[in-house]
Amino acid sequence: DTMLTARLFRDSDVLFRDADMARWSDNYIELGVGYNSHDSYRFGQFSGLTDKGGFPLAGFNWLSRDEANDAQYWQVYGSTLGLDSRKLSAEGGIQGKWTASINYDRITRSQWDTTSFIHDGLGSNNLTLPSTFVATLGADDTAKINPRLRGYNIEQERDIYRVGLAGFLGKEWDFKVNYREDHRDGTRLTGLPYNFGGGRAVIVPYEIDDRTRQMEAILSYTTRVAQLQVGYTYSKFDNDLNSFNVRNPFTNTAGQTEGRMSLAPSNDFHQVYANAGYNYSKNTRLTGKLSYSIARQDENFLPYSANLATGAAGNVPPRTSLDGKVVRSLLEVALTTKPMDKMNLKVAYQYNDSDNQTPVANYTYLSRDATTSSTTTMRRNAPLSTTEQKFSVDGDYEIAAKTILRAGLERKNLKYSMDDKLYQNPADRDYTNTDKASIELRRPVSDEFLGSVGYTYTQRRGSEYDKNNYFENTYWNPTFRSQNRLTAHPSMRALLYANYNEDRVRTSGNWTASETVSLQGAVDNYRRKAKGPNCSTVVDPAIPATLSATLPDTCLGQTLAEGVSVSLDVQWQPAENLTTFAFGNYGETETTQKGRTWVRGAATTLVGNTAGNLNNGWSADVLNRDATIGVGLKWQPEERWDVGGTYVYNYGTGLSSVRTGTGIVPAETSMPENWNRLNTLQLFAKWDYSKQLSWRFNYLYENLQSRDWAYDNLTATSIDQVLLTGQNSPRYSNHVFGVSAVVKSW
Amino acid sequence: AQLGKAPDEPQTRSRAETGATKPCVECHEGFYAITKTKHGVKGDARTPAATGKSITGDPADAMCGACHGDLTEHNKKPRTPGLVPVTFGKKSPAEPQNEACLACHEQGSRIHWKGSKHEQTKQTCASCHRMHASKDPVMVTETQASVCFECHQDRRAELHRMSTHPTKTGFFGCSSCHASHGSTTRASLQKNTVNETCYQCHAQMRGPFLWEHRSAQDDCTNCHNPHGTNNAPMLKTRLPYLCQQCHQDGGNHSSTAFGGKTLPGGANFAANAQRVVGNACTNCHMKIHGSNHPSGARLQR
Repeated sequence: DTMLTARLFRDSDVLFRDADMARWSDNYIELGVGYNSHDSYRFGQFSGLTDKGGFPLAGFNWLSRDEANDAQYWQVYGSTLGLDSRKLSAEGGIQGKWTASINYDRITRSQWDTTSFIHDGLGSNNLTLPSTFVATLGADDTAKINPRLRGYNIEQERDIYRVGLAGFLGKEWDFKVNYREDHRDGTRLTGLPYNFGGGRAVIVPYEIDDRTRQMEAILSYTTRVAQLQVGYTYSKFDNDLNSFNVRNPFTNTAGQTEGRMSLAPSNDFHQVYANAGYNYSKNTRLTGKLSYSIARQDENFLPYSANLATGAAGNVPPRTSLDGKVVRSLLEVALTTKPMDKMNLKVAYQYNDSDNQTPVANYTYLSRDATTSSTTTMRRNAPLSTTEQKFSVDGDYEIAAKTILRAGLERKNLKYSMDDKLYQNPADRDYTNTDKASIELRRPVSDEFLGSVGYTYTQRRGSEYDKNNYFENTYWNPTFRSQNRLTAHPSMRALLYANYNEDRVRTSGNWTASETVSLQGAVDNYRRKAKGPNCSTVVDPAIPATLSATLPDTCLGQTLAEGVSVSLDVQWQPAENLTTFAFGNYGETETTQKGRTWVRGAATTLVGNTAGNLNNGWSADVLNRDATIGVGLKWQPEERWDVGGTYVYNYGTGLSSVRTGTGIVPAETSMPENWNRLNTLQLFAKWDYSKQLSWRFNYLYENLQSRDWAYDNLTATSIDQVLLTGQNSPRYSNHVFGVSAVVKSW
Repeated sequence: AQLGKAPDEPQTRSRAETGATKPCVECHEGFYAITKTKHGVKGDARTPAATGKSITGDPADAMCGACHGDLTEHNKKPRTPGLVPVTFGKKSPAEPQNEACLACHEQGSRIHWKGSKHEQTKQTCASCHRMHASKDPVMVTETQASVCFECHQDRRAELHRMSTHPTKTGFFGCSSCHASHGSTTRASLQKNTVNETCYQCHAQMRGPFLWEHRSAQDDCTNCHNPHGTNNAPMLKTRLPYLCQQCHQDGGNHSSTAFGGKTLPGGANFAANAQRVVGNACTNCHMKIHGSNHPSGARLQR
């Protein structure tokens, strides 16, 4: 029974949460105690089990259903009630007439307990310092910074409330109304830069206090021939905080005492939609979707600079708020049919338009709350609109008994448009066409073995890369404009738009070796190579002739992405009362990217990229690998006992190999390897004292070790440009014990 | 027949009428848990229990025929294979199985079932659902992923990576994002686009912002792998390399080669460490999902 494997797997992952699926069938109340051996934010990241010491174990499930008469039912459920993360729900009604439900989830996210900061007011949206404090040397001014450092933990809580009502309006109509409210509270880390010394930054916790309210109302009409679903979705995000102030700890020469970061703006979203299906005949069905939505955002703007008086000349944006609006329309129609007994066919068309109607204006650019304003550094916002059309044909044919050949073709055309074309950079283009062709064969090799192999080829091409690649009206720096300086390197091919060819091969097998042994395996391999004029010896015609001679014959950006995933599952039931399983997976992804260190020069010259200095190229191969294995067993030595355990091991590494050309001095080297190693052992036993009472014993051991060059060997003051937090890469070793009594229905 | 239509005919027939030899329960005792499920509620006129016909005179058998078809011949010759019109499981063809379920369940999220990825790969309703169990694991958030992992084994491994959604703790199921019965979106997502799906829980990223980050506006999965990675927060590639796959502007640091010498003790540590350690590029460009600050064009405010 493959489900049993799934159940066992969950045992290894869910902390004392109904590990035995049989309990789902029962009405029960569980009460007990647990003990956690060590403090660790990372261990209790989502469970809330962050502190050393005892904790209560509590949960219940109660379902009452009147099967025979009027179909009344009700159910209440609670889980991990003794922990900070918990669930409560209740549902009831008359089946076939109406149901009502209410749910509450609290999810904690404990991120860091090794962080330190110098500011006062931690946890609020206004971080201060004594007026006399100035780190005159920068972030490595240990004499001034170290005495002020104190620990502060980074964590968030999300409370989710849901209410639902559903009912039937006659035999063919029904409705559903669901409301959900998420409240987030806590802090997260952010950086915030200042202008001192060419740029200094602090990493600090910013306050989160926001709500997302969502409502969905659906009316459905259903017969065997036609189905219609009409819905309205409303979502509103309200942020109680619009900004976050942090006192500048560094020397400032122009009154830049404060840094102010904008926080996520309140916004709303409305959507009406209709899903429909029509069974034209037994073998032919027409389906469709129509959707229209509006996303709006009109939060009042902050002033340009926190260090100029609000309303002062040069500190007033051209608008009081954005009045941002994006209108999306979607239409999809699909026809599925069976033109022959052994053949299935699907033809689909989709139109998806995103019309960004946000007003465009020129905004003064005051870098990092600077106090000097100048119209020479203005920026113009560039709302992007897109129109996507997709056409696809898929079909399969049973070429022999249970042997199925599938094939599909798809074309996606994506058009980009901006109100302000002049903002585009060389990597932009007006449209792309992505074509995909796939073929798959599924065949039973024997009665016991079913295998499949599939291949998908995808390519993206498009219009010429944009030629308007100089700073023009949007970057109102007269020098840059008059000198036709480039906005970006003409060879850059951004991932979003770049041409590529991709090959993907997938194979899978399912072997039932005997009545008691079965195996499933799968291999997925892909390779995506960037293609285009600048990836060969042909120079992009969009690049001016004066530059062509000096350009490298390779594109910049991601040039290659590869990945492989190999999985194997084995289930073995050596005896009726003993089930075992094992699984393993190896995954690898690698991206290769190329770069060129260059300096934006006057006219059309790429300083640092001239004929005599073409050696400023560099490349980075980022390789992520991880291997996961797991074993488990479940044994019922006698009628009253259930025992079992699982062990999961995961080892992941990340390696960034960097190579630089001879023009880059000193030459760069590869990064040290990052790694993480997770061991999880869980044991459980259940003893049925009586039909009504069971005792449950749990043990969980989890050990995580990791290394990350972004944090390790660095203190808060290790570098002078950024005041760090001193946080360490996560590592812990925790033992958790639990014993609980489960009282079942009486 | 229309959904919800109450049966017009008697729900049971006598054994004399059908020639049935014994009630289904005598051989299929374990499957009678279905009487404790929603399907087993006779008071709901739509259920198999209400609409099915018993061939044995035992009312509990009525629902068996509602899904499995006319079991009269099977009942007479229980050991003869091939007499059950509709059987469920891997060894039986998918279409008759799914037709039996869709006869009542083609509405709602199943409208787009036909032509969906799961339908095209010959998955059946019984591949994921346990109709005879009083609690169907795939319908419970805490146990749902384990059902999906039976086929999507690589996703199970990704769950053990350093940065993931709270699936292991039972708060986040696969159906939080995916519509397993089919939808109009790639990867059968719940909403019209990837971003619309993500905004259900991350509405703070929705904007529209004054200064958009086009990559984020286009598709969250340009940078994130929502199934889990070893690069927090679920990034496909580490910073600064991820950013440099699109940004290598001249005259500033984004075209610089960053490597091992930018770490403590390295020759480039003093000059470049601030763009590599800590939050790397987002030490300064922290409004990476878009900024609504009038001076936020470089996503620094």
